[in-house]
Amino acid sequence: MLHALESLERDGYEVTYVDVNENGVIDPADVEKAIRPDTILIAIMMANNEIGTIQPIAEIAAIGKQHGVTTFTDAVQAVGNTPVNVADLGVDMLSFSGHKIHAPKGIGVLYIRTGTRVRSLIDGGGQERGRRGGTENVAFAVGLAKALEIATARLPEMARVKAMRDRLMQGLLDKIPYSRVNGDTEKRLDGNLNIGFEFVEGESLLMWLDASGICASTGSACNSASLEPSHVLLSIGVPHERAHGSLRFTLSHENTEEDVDYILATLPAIVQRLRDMSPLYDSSMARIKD
Amino acid sequence: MYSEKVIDHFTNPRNVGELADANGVGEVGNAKCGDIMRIYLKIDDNRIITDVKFKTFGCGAAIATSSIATEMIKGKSIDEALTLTNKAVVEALDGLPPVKVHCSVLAEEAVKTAVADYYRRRGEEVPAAAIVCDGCCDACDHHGHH
Repeated sequence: MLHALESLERDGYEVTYVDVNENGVIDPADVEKAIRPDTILIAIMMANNEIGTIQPIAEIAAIGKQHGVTTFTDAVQAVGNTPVNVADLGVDMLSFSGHKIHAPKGIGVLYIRTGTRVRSLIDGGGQERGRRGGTENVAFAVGLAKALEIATARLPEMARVKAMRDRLMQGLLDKIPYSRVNGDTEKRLDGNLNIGFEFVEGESLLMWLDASGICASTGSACNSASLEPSHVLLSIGVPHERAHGSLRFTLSHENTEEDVDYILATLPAIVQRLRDMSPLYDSSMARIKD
Repeated sequence: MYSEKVIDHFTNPRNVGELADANGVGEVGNAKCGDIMRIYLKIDDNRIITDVKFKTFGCGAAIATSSIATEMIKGKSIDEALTLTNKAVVEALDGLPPVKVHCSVLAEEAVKTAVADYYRRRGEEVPAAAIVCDGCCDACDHHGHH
């Protein structure tokens, strides 16, 4: 999303960025305040990939409609994880990519509500009602439709995924002192857990997890080429220190209760092992004793 | 992405811990940048490093460079320890990814800072080779970001 907006700025459009609260949620009132007489588009991610926050899209789309502004949402992290219904959301446009729901890579969806005028993306052929010239990749389209059918049919299983995620979250918070969940605990994708452990660094956590057969990711700078910690975590006010020690777990219907048991049995010892060699941990513990 | 040596020193770090009777302690880096190294030295009357321990907050490379650096200076004179370069640390680990080279710089500076602390505690002048910065820079300068 950010890169697309930066591209528009380079073309001379003005973009207002609305801040999120400390849980990563956008207040629709802030969106309304940011609307100017010449505003043409509200663009917002439906769900965040790192902290799983689900935005109040329906409220924001209603505000857009009231002010005659088109609302677009990128639902790539939401489709297949939470119900997505363009009628309920009331958005004018919605996009998602196929690969996230195991469709072939290289195909995605752009929903455009009837009556929304969109300039042709690729001129030439009259395909897709003249909005995107070029012969359609029918095999990919069929694959995406099937993947969507399967992903949607599995949505009822997300209640089980949420229960596993909640047990993992509570278990880690109980077993590991100085840990904290990043993002909103309610308005959140069912399978997402983003949790920070103080005094340790994410890449070393990941290396131990990887050696234990557990796949996760981190917001730490040390795991990126840029050496900058996650901008998402920083934008919700997580200090650099804690962003470095943050892990993201993504659970799906393929995970089992045994997986949760295994993480709960493995991760606390990894965190403790790294804390035992962390100069930040011993100085903080010494301060607490005093 | 990491060599076997790095993985070995990360998973089985040598000389982890503290020295209650250390007579030279050096800490470099900061939490904001994601790595802090603290090195404890026990230096005898002949200025030989008889024992060394470290504590590190940081990534796999930060832990591995601290570990190997302590091995490289243990049993050496402090003059020899001051000749330890980050390049030697990288070579001893069979290489580091480019974005992790700063960790080896931190290891070199942690050793020098600990030796400088030894001189200061004795009220002696700190040799130029042990001075890594004038106090106005921090580890971030080596990271190339702020």
